[in-house]
Amino acid sequence: MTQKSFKLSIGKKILLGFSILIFIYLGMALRSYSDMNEINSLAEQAVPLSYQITSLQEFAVSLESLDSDIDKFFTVNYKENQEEVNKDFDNMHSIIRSIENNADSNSIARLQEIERILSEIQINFNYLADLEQNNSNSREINEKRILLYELINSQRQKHRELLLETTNKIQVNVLDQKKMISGIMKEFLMLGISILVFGVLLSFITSRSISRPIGKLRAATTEIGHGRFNVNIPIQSNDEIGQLAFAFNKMTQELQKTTVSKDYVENIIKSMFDMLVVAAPDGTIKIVNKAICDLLGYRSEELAGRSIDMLFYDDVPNSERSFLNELIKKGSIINTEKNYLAKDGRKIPVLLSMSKMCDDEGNILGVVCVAKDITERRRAEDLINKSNEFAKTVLSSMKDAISIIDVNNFRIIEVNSVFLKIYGMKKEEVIGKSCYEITHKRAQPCIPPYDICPLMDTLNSGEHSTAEHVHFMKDGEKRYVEVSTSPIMDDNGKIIHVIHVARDITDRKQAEEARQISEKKYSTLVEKGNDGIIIIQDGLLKFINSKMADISGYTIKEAIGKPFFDFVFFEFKELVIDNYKKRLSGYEVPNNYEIEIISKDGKNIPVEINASVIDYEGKRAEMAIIRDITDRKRAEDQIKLSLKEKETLLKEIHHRVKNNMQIVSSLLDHQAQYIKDKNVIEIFTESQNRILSMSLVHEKLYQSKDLAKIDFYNYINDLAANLFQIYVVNPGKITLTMNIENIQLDIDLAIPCGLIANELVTNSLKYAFPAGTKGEITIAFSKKEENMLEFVISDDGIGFPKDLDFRKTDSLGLHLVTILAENQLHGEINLIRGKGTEFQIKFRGIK
Amino acid sequence: MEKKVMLVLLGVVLLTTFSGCATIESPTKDSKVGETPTKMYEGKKILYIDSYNAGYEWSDGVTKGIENILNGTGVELKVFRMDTKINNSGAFAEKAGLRAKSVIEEFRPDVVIASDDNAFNYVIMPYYRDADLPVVFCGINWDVSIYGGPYKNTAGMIEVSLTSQLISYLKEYSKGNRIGYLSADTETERKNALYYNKLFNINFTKIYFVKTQDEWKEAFLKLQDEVDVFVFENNAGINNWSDSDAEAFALNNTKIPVGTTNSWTMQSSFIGMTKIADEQGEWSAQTALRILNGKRPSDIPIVTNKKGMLYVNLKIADKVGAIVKPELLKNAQIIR
Repeated sequence: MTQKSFKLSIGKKILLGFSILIFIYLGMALRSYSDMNEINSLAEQAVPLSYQITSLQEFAVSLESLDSDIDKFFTVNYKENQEEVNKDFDNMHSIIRSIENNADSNSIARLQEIERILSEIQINFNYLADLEQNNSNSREINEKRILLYELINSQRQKHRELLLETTNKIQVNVLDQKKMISGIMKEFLMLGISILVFGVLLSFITSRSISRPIGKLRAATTEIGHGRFNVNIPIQSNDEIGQLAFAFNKMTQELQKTTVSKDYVENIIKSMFDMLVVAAPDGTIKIVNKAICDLLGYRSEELAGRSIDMLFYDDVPNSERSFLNELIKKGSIINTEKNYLAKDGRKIPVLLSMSKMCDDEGNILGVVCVAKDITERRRAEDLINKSNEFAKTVLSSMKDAISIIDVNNFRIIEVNSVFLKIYGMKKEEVIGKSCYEITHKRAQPCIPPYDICPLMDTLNSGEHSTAEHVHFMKDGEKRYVEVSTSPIMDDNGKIIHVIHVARDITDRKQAEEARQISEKKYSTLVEKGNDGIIIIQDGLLKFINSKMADISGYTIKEAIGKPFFDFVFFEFKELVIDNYKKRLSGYEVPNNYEIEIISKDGKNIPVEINASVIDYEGKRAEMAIIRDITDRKRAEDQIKLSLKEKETLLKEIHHRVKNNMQIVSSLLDHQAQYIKDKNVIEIFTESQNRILSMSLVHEKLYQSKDLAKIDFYNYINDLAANLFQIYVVNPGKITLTMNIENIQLDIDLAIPCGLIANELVTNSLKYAFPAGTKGEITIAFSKKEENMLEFVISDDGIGFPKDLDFRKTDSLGLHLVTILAENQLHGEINLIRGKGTEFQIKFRGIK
Repeated sequence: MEKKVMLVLLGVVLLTTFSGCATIESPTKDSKVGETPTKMYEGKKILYIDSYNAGYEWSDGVTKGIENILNGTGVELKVFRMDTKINNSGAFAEKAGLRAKSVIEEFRPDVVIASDDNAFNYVIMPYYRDADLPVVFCGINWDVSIYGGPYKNTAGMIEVSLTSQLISYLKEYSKGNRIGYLSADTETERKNALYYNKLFNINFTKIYFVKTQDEWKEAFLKLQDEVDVFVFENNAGINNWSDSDAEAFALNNTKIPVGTTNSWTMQSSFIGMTKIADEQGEWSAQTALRILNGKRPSDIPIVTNKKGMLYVNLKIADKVGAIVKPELLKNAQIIR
């Protein structure tokens, strides 16, 4: 706001504001009067519309009444119901006409449509009434009824549309009125608020234009009271307040010209980085600056008036006071290091300068102390000291012998404790001596190339260098050391010293020598062995020895790097690859197995492989020892051939024995044809059966795969079948049950068992079932505990005579049975008399 | 201080002014109270297990009802059809139940909707009885207690036929009180016949369950003479069914009022009082959303279907010789 914009006095400004408000209010009142007239006109238009709505509601009631009366007519079909319906039609026509009188053109068109539908309903109803009275067919009545109801629904729809349209018109009318009323209310409200806001703003501006300059004047006066004369109040108006401000500014300008401000001095002190204390001659603090307050943690009020001694860290009591006295005598003390004492007790090192302050006559007015905080400098010095100590500690804690050598003369200037310990010397014996004198025990340095000197390398290249040396201890002991040298440079990059680190590698060297000897032995073993040795890694041959090269026919150079599986005969490839993968994956697979490999000249060579997993050059690999088993295989084939020949021979023998026995049996049979005595014939038959039972054993033997054992079940089955064929007259009367376990019997046991079965089954067939009675013969053979075998032959016939001892009969058969069971089988035989006859024979089987 | 007071006063005045204006000028837009916020259920999953197959009108109606409610809610809906209407053996249903179980395990829904008896009998009862997974069932005929339900994790809508009302309508056009029953030979329909008697004391004079359309024709003809009205319950499950054949047969052979409870058998019936499958689907989906909002299934009461649709077949009415009463004509959907 410029000075020109406020030319009016305060009173006139207020009068102008209120006049504006009154004009605004009058304008709004005039506008509202015009709006009220329009609202009145709208209200008059709504009257006929409301009448139309009332009539339409009456029409709706009549329509529902019509619907209901039609239903009643259809249900009961009385004449009076038809009359009711016709009355409904008349009523509805009259309602429509009454609405048309007051309706607008739009509504009249809709009313005409309603009237048309009403007439259609009436015509259809009358037609339907005739149909129902004439009992027409149900289909037509149903269809007409549906049509009638559809027309009524259509009428309802049309009525609803007209009612909705009329209602909408009324709503629009009411909304218009509401909108206008709302507009008037809004304008009044806005006006009220505007007047209020304008009034408040006016009051605020007026108040502010008076109170603000006065406030500034009050503040300016306070400033001058504190001695600060550079205050100036801006003049923003030309009213009474503006004139007062102008007079005040003039007054301050005059004061500035005549008085010196102390702010200047205070600003100098305040802006000093160094700490300033001004004290009286007796040591009482007068002035302190911000820097010292910030550093020591005091407020200036806390220091003023107190003794300067409190600022100093009191290492020696009262020493500072004498120091102050000395200052007064000397006049000044420059750059002396002292310690200040902070409020929280911290000791702060400072670089202090002091001087006394005198007046023109030389009287001491006070002491001025200026100090600089040197904490950071002290800390840096401490760090350097600690760093040096740390370096010494590091050197001493190293396991290697470390020496620092002057490159100008190869003299040792520092060593660590390990150096002294390893070389067995005292420090004074080492320091100042040349390195070659101490470590190599000689008078001159190492001379390359035969005698490599890493120190010289480092000196020439400026880089780190290493070499293996032989050093000698004080007692002359020889030690292997790995020497590494690194340069120490000055600020210009010039090498001034070399760090010489000697690591004792004597043990490692000795171990390496031992390993080399061992490897030589191992290599000899591998190369001179009788078995081939290979190492397979990633499926490729990584190593083969000379023997393997001999077996395969390839040279070592040809074989290395090729897939091992290319050397394997195709029949075994899958086995070898599978075993290889599984073994390397940690699965258990056979280590020993036989395969065939293909030699360079294409021959199949049978080999035995013994494989295992090893670490080879840091990776898992398979090592296989391969033995050529060509000779062994050849020998095995010979043995197999020989066995085959013997087997054929043995079969031939059994065959011939069986044939011979059958010849004997045929001879007996032939001979029996000339005998008339039945008893003798029977003796011949029994003998034939016995021969047959033995021949059957030989037959079974040469038919079986195993020439030493026969399947006992088959044997007994054939034997019994033969006996049944001979003795059973009526097949089906006597049955045979066999409970024989799956047992293979040696020939030594099979023949006596067969003979026993022959005798006992023959006895049962001959004597147990007289006169064609039915019965059953059972043959059982089973294993019992401890390799015992039980052979049971039983029948359910008439039974063994009670007074007869089977051991003492005249029967050759039973005699044979007893002899065979006890002497041949070395078993025991028992007769069990129950229902029929049962012989139990127990004997030990051959293990 | 004076400045601050003046500023506060000015602020109050201006605020009052603008808020007053805002009140006057506030637009009279329709507030959308109750409208589902878009994608409110984003990330939620519902699995609908249908006992039957797509194309079966009932299943399609339930599906439509579910989709109507869930569209725009952000719910991911997956449908699994057990297909046990055509394949109606118990063994097939058990296998379908196992497949549904694996779908649940793979899809991991937040809520399962199980429609009709087989979904409940072969999936929910054996595998999810009182489980943590919330289940909304629908379309279970008459009674869920035969499956040991309701469980603590289930809520549902029982499906009841409007047969007693249907029979009331039919009797208005009949010459006697004998009532017959004809339907496909399925477990559901046998259950329905049982419950009509158990719940509504409807004693059927004759009941026929048929497997083929020829058997249906034979029974249809027999019932014309054996009873005064009959209910043709459902054709779903009758082999080789042809709607056109059935319609022609009914038009030629109907002598007595025949009613049905399914819209798809209306072509061969006089009056239909049918359930609305959409109602089952809509209620199930709304209930599933309530569960997603934190409602426990056990706190939601079991309800029955409330909506029904009335049909009148004018061609069959003509065959019966019935003049259809006004109340029926006004309320029913007319089939010509």
